[in-house]
Amino acid sequence: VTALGRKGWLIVASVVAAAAVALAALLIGPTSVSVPGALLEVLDNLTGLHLRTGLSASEAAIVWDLRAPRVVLGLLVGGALALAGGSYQGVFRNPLADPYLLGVAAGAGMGATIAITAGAENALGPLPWVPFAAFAGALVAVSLTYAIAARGGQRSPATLLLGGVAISSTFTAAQTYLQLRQTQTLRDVYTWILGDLSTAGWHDVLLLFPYVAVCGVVLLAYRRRLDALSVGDEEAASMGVGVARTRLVVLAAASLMTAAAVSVSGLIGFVGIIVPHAVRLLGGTTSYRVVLPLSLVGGGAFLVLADLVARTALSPAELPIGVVTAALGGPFFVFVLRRRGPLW
Amino acid sequence: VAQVPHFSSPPTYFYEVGYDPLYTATSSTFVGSVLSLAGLRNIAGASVDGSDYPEYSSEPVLRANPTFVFLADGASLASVAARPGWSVLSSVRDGRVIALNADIASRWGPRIVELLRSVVDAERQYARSVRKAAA
Repeated sequence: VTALGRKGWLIVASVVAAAAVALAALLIGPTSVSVPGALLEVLDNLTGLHLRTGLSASEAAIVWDLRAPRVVLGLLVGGALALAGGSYQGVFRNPLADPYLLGVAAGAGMGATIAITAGAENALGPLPWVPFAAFAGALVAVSLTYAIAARGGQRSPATLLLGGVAISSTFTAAQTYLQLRQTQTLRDVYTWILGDLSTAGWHDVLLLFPYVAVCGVVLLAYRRRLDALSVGDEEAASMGVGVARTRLVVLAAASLMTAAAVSVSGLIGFVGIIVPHAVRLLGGTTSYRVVLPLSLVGGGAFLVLADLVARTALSPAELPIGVVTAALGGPFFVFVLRRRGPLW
Repeated sequence: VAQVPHFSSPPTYFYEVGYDPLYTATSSTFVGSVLSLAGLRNIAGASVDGSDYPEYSSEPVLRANPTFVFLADGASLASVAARPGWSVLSSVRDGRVIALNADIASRWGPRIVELLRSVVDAERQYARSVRKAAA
């Protein structure tokens, strides 16, 4: 159509949409802050110009210390979960694959539950033990899944998936037992499982950013190989794609990125399945060259929007963001499916 | 209660039940009624979205800038000051963040008197500092 092409325009449009959502999320909240003041405050912090924003100290803190890190973290977590979801679907050639498939969620939940029920947060000082334990739990669970699949011999996608199911059930059982033994921490554990960005700060952003940057670049670099893989293993091999290596690298990068994301945000569901499919249906293509970058941007925008609803719908009360992603995502997905028909 | 100092307008407070996520107790809870006896006003009001112990945003806490922050969850002035944005609170700056004994604050019985005592002590100290600033 033009020099940019259809794919280019789709990506430009999604970036513009994500930027608009992010801006709205900076300007809207449970308390009202003047729009020009909030914009100047963000500009001031980004440029270090010492602008006169006209905001009080608490308004400045609301914009820059409370809202801004939540927005950036929403972009990172949503982008990571959606990109990982799209990649899993490509590797397994399975439309229902999602970032929690290989035991990431169950492992992270187990780690977080151990940390919360042991009272690590209060007993062991200011270090962020819950994210650390969640990250470790996720990596242990995924490694176990891989080990099981490797011992199965042929390393087929089916063995990996079933290994993930087995590991997930085992970890979930242990986690449920711990929860029931320590009922006074039930609410904390439950809130973490539903996902929550309400206390996010810049340190969470700094913690997560390197993982999303490195794993995101790796996954995007493999998007053409995922296209080849979508035709079939043998066909991909005949095109000169190292099938086993591609699968291992993509799974490792997607799992690591997911583990890092859930360790700071909790288990936010639905993003990894809904966003890549919505992108396929709205973009009218199944090519991973388009689906993966669009999922990264669209997932970020979706989660920022969900978080905006989470903190304003019942303000000054807060909703867990996992409740919002499920409530927004489910009906939206049904709507898209019914309008355009299946596209897989 | 007789020792509660007189203020021209009631000082405000935020009562923290848990953090990450943040939970508060409103003035219609039992502990809220004890703090009302002490002449304090809850920034969350009587109920939030129909709940007496709601999950609460940090934004309205920073905006309301309550005179006192009472912690019933094992948090401390240092951990509150380290939270994103909370260091701007005047209660954090001036040391009016009061870590309550969680057993006394949340397991109500005869020792509720001790809770009231630590609240009134904080109020009297605040009244002194206000008088000193005025003088």
